[in-house]
Amino acid sequence: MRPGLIRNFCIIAHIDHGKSTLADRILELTGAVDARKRKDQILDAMDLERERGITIKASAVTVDYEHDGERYMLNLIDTPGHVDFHYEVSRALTACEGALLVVDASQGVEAQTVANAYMAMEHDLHLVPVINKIDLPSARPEDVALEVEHALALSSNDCVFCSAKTGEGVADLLRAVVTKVPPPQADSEAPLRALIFDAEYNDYRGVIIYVRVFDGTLRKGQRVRMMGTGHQYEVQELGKFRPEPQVHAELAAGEVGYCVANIKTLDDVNIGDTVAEVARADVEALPGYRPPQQMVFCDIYPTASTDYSKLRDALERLHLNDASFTFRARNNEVLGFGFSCGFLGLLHMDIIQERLERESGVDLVQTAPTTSYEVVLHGGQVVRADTPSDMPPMAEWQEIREPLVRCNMIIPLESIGSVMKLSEQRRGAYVRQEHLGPTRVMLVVDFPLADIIYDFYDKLKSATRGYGTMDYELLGYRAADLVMVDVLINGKPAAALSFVSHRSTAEDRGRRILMRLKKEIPRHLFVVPLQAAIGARIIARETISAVRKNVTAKCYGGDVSRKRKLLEKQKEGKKRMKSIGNVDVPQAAFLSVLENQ
Amino acid sequence: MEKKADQNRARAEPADAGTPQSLYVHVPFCVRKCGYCDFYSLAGATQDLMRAYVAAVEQEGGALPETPLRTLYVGGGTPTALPPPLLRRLLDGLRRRFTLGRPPATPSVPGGEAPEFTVEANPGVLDDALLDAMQDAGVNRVSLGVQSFHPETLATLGRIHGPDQALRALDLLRRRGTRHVSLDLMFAVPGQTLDQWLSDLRAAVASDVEHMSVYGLAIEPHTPLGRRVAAGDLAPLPDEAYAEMQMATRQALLAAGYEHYELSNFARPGRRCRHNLTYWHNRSYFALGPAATSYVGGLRETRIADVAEYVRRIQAGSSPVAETERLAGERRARETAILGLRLLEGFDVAAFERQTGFAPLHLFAEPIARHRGLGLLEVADGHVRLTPAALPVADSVLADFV
Ligand SMILES: Nc1nc2c(ncn2[C@@H]2O[C@H](COP(=O)(O)OP(=O)(O)O)[C@@H](O)[C@H]2O)c(=O)[nH]1
Ligand code: SF4
Repeated sequence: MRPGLIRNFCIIAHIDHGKSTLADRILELTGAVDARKRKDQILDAMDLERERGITIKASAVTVDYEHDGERYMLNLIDTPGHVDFHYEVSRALTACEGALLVVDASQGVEAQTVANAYMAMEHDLHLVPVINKIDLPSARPEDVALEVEHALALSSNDCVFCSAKTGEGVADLLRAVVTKVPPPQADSEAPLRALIFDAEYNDYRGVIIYVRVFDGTLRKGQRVRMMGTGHQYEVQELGKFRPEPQVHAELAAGEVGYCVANIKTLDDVNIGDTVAEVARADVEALPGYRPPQQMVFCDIYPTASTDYSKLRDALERLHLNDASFTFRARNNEVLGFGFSCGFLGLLHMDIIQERLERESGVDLVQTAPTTSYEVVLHGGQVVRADTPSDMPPMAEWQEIREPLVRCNMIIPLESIGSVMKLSEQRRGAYVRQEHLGPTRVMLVVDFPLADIIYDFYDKLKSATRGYGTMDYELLGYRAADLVMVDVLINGKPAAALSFVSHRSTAEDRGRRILMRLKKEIPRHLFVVPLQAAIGARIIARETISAVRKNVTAKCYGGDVSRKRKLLEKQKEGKKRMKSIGNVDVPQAAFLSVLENQ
Repeated sequence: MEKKADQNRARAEPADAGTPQSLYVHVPFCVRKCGYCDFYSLAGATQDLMRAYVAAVEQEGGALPETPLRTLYVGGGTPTALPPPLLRRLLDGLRRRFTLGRPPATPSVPGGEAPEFTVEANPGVLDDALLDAMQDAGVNRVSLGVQSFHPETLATLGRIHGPDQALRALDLLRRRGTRHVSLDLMFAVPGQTLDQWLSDLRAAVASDVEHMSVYGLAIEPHTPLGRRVAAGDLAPLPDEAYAEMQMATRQALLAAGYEHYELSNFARPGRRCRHNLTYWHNRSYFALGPAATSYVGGLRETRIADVAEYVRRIQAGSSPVAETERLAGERRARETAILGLRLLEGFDVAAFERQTGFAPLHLFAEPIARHRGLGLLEVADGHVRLTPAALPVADSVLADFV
């Protein structure tokens, strides 16, 4: 097909603004799917995605569209909806020339609307603003169009108004795609360069990669090389999803499709890598590849230690479908055998945890999330520590750096005070604010990721009576005044409880942890000191006073058994505890610290 | 298989396989239930039921071997809630059966070789007729459930008697020349002050009894008192007050010439309760009556806690036992240790090994070392024992031995 008749585009939207519904409507209107036997939301494959309204894996669908007597090929590339998949989104955007920016006509512009729009602009995509759900009684399409103009500097005159539910305006939308989104710049004769913008694992076919051909032509039987990994493959099958898979002999420059090439695991594929012809591999790789970066870490343990191998199997299975989370075995002195897992972000973590529990049937204990740190040692060497136990001793630090993120929050104007206060509590640095209309404002604040990783979103929701939305992107690692805090029980450090903290909040956090321990650790026959310390310096202390009374006054012939059983129970209870510095610490005490921050 | 089990058993029970020399008889009747009580007893039973009960005990006792006993203890409940003729019948029967017709030691014969024959008496119901019955049967030790000399404390406990009756009962016993009197006292009762408790102790000392059992009140949830505490009507004394009263008790009674020989028991020299020592030495004993527990040949058997059912089963010739327990070697040894540690002299290392087959310094090496380090335990003159500092927290120490 002539590149001039191809349009590659995606739909970007805040969750629930109607991306999937609109995609369905487009497939129907172009005849790709029969409206009567359509399944709802064809692009959202997985249950979990449907439940949460999140698209996890991108895929691409090709449809035909007649316009002014010409037959166009429209490639609709689906993007993950959340910022945790930033990198994957950015790869999908690279495969497109334009994007439909869908905004709910009653909700208006939200944080992800802005984040996604900015990202699309960074990729030089042509944006078509779409005001969806105009059928709703609460719809205020004109206002929302103005919000789009204020927040994103896109003219309100360019907005397309539609209802994905009733189908109204969807035809206009397709016209806008053809007339406004530019065709791909493509040279079918040049040496092959195709971008891998997504991949998924299939039990029968192995790995299926999604590619956008930029130059040259990808053909069945061709020997190709992935420039990043250096792996070579023979192309076994090429095709397009319409939405059923349709086999093609070749994919020409400007086209989008799938490719099967006997790739065994997702670990063998890098999203963002460039596919070139083995015979002509001296081309320059397409720009922008980087490996996925895990930003959020937590430990996962089976509640019952006998479930360990079940958990490992489940993690391995999940990893087949999502190579962007990592896991490695870990032996915690209290919680036993489990795994340290890394995720792209908080939502990613939630999704994996939920799937793990659902698919493995294993009851899990998971520790509060932490971020990774970069430590510059005195010798100048830089080490990355994903968990406190990976941290080199503080004496060896020359500098420690933490991840910094830029956070967009869209909130009602009246809650700006409380959100600013919340931001200050979380070490936020104000960047700017923008009024989106008379009642809504966008606040941009830079935060250390560690400070918003835990319950920030919940706090934002309650500070805005549920209306606030947020999104963030990584700015990079930045030096900070961080310290390693150890927790000592009766003078002995409890390694499992050490944590990294900003110096200014270390004392507070230390004290909170000691209070929790004090509540959970039973009294002993001696006074138990609890301390939080930075190196040798004690920053907080608590004391558990000794048992004052524990005696059975009466014990005669008739009640020997009962009294003995009571003592046996006391002893059993002790046995289940972990002894630190002669102190019996119940698992609940560790969990009360590890599960919270 | 069978053979192996037998061998284990033989090793598990090296000593004390002989016939018990003690007997406990439970009299499951009371005039009225006290608010804190979690013993099995019936209030307001008919005389017919009492009569049937006495007959059933006689019948059950008839099946025991005819062996001379060293101690006999009739407790309850309230033995003195029986009408005098019935109490007389019960006690006479026991005397005839278990002393082989010999008249038991008279009250004028001190402890020594003569059997110790104790009956528990309630100051609210003790009169000459009951005392005659006891005296004629050879009862030589009376345990009087005084609990307190303060009306408020007695009221909180829901006892049927007042301070006057307690003093009158003591007087009655003295005038009869009962040489071995024991008092029960109770502290850590909600509302009780340290001063009140000290004055209870002074009154007890003034009565010049031979023996005192002094209990910290244990509030059991399913009792009326427990429910009042749960409902917030009554505040239990804080642990600190309990520990303070316990220590004050020890001080006062030691000063008055009593020996502190068990966590809750004090005696004049030579007047320890030999029957109860059987329990703390984990030696065997017979038992008769509803809810009573016997311990014979390593088998602990508890009779059904239901008078009517007990009577029915005895009459029908079926077993009145509702619960049995037999501990294997090491668990039995551990039980022996926790009982022995209740005694202030502790347990004798050599005797323990003879009795249980386990060397205590080896079996308990770890807890002994730990608690010695904390000053809560000592090993001296062949005994392992708690130190006085351990007394208020004894269970925390014992839990490491069980
Ligand atoms: N009334 C109305 N509801 C819509 C419209 N488009 C989508 N929805 C509903 O909005 C919800 C979210 O839509 P969905 O397509 O799943 O959003 P996504 O998260 O952006 O994919 C669903 O309940 C849809 O039925 C519309 O134009 N009008
Ligand atoms: S007299 Fe003794 S057995 Fe009877 S109710 Fe009172 S405490 Fe319980």
